[in-house]
Amino acid sequence: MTNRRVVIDPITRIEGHLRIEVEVDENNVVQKAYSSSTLWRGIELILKGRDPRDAGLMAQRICGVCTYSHYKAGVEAVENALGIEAPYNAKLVRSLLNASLYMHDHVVQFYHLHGLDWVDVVSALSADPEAASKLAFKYSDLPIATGTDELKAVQQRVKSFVDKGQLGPFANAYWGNGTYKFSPEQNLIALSHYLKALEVQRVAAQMFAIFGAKQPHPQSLVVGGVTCVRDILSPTRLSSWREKYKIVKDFIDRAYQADIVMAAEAYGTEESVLGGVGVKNFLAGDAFMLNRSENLFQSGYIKNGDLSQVFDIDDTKIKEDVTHAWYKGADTLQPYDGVTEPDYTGFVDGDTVNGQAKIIDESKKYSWVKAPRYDNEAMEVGPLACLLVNYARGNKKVQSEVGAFLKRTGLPVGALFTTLGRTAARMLQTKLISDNAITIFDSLVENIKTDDSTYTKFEIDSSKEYMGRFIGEVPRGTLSHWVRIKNGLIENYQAVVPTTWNAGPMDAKGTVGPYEASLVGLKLEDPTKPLEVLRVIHSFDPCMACSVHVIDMKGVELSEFKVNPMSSGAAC
Amino acid sequence: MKILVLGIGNLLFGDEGIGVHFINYIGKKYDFEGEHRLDIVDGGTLAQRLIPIIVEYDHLIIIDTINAPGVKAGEVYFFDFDAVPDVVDWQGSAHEVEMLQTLTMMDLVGDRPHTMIMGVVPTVIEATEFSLSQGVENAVPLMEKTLLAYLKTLDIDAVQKTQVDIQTILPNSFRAFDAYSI
Repeated sequence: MTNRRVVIDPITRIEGHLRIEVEVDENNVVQKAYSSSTLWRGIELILKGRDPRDAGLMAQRICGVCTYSHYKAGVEAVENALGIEAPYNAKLVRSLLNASLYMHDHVVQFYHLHGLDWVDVVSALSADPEAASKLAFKYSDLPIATGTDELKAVQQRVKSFVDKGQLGPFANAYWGNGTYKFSPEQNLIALSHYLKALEVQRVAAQMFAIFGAKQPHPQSLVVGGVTCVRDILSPTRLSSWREKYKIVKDFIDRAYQADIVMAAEAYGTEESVLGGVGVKNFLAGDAFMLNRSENLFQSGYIKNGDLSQVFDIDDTKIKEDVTHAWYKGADTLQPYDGVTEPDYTGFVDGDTVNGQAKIIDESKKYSWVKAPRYDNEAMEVGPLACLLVNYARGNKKVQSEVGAFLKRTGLPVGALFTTLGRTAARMLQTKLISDNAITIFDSLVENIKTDDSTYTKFEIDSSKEYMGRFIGEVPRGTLSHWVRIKNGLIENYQAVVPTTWNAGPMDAKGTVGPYEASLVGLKLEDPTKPLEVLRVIHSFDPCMACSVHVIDMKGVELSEFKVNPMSSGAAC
Repeated sequence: MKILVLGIGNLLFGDEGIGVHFINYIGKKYDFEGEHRLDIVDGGTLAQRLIPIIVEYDHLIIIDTINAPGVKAGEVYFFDFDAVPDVVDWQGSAHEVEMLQTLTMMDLVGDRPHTMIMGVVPTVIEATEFSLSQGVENAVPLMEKTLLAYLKTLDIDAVQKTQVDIQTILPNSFRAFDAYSI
């Protein structure tokens, strides 16, 4: 019997544009997997010929989630090119903004983008709220949003939503799938946290906005420093940050951490989440200046899952291959010389488990994402990579946090190299960041007592050529921006984003990237409801750069709402 | 009452950016007078991250691109979000439905303000330049008229302060000059 093909498009719960196709054998075990980004990203072309001081502001428009990450990367790549060092205050503010972003981003990722792969909402509606309320104490000494009355109210609220026919976010998952492992009571605890997280994420956004100057697009970073001088010198602003920080940290400690411990218990023997790491090379950038002498995370990479050896990153070994990507060019290029010339070849007709459809032709080009390689090897990036690299480096904070989690859950170190481990790593990274964000804050408060500089002056010599890059850690993994400046303008610009590392297609040698490798060997309960695939891919936190946001009315006739140019008297 | 006019879209993608360009155009061209407070904000493509801003308002007017059966490029639609049936498809599609999903998430918490949506049908959605197709640019006067007429029903008068050509807005929208100061 030949393999059958399963197409999932799009795979992301909210941020779209990712398509996954898998071939399953007669036992529904995945034999091959293909990852395709279906949206073209043209930021590189738009940036050419522009003022390098605007690179960050334009780059932040790549995405609706990674705004700050690209903003900061664009600013710091240009600083690197021009040889500018931002003042200590500026670096701390950027670090603090980054911490605020992570605390927001990872909470939203787990609850709103990934949570329903683990939590069966329908099951939660049948839970006993009193039993669930007691059970919550097993996972946290101080559980949050799990009082009996609160849990009853959660059931009521969700039920009335469902009864109105407005399934909303709950319409997408595969309720009742046998690989859902939480008990009804555990599902109810997590569902209550899902709703609580909707409230907490607002506080997190406000926390970020304090030093981001303007909302919703941060404006406070400039090449050379930051502009939020008055904010960092204002005791009111500082204490406001601290109040909001406490609320978000509280949720991370008492809900997010507890739910992952609960998941480790419930899913510790569920086969479909105990694989999912096919590429065992991990790459991480550095991040989070805590003070003048210490960063929370260091950069580096490990190979073949070997935690006994860690290597330093050499920029020149980062290259991108476009053999199977919809771009012209045969050479594997370093990003400084990267070319972004589209060569779209589309999909072909084929058979799938849901009948005839357009499918990927894997022998040709099949994705808008390039395939980045480090020293010709595929690398996984993201929170798991960050923790593994730092664990291998002997980073005490990371070793202690990871060690405590493994001890508490009774899992071996090997359990980190799984889908469950990847999801747990994101929580552990969030916990490390939220525990240490206050150190960044204190460093800033201490330093502004004697030093209020936030900006380093610079000049761009239009007769000179410059090149520079930013490489660092952002919520979805290692991000790099690469810029060449000539005649005072951007000559070439490339962004190698985390999801590119993870979601990229095969390279010229046929080496597959982390997504494609992670799915091979995965057994599906029902290929027409491939929840297991979603869970593995969502554990990477996919975010295909570039959002397009046409409001799509999905078959609803709008003719009655059409504005008639004649009757309204508009002259056009 | 506090009213928010929220421009949505990705200005790296031609017509996709019309929501943002349009609110920048309106903000430059008019002062608004009346008893209510009116704010104009560039929401970009931030979706969920706009919730903390949106909840501070009693009335929300979203300006975005739109797609539906039978629509033609350059047409303008204006409607109450509550007047259309459950259109939010969480499976997504080739185009995203993020803004609508965000509104539903607000319903889950129960604090979404009254929401009007003005959508214009785009033609060009690809990354090239900060530009608009002729069809969408031609729709701007109708969008403008529709918005001002609606604001009038809320007792808000638009007073023109200067003449603005939308072409002069396009290359500068990325600076978010009508951003919301927190």
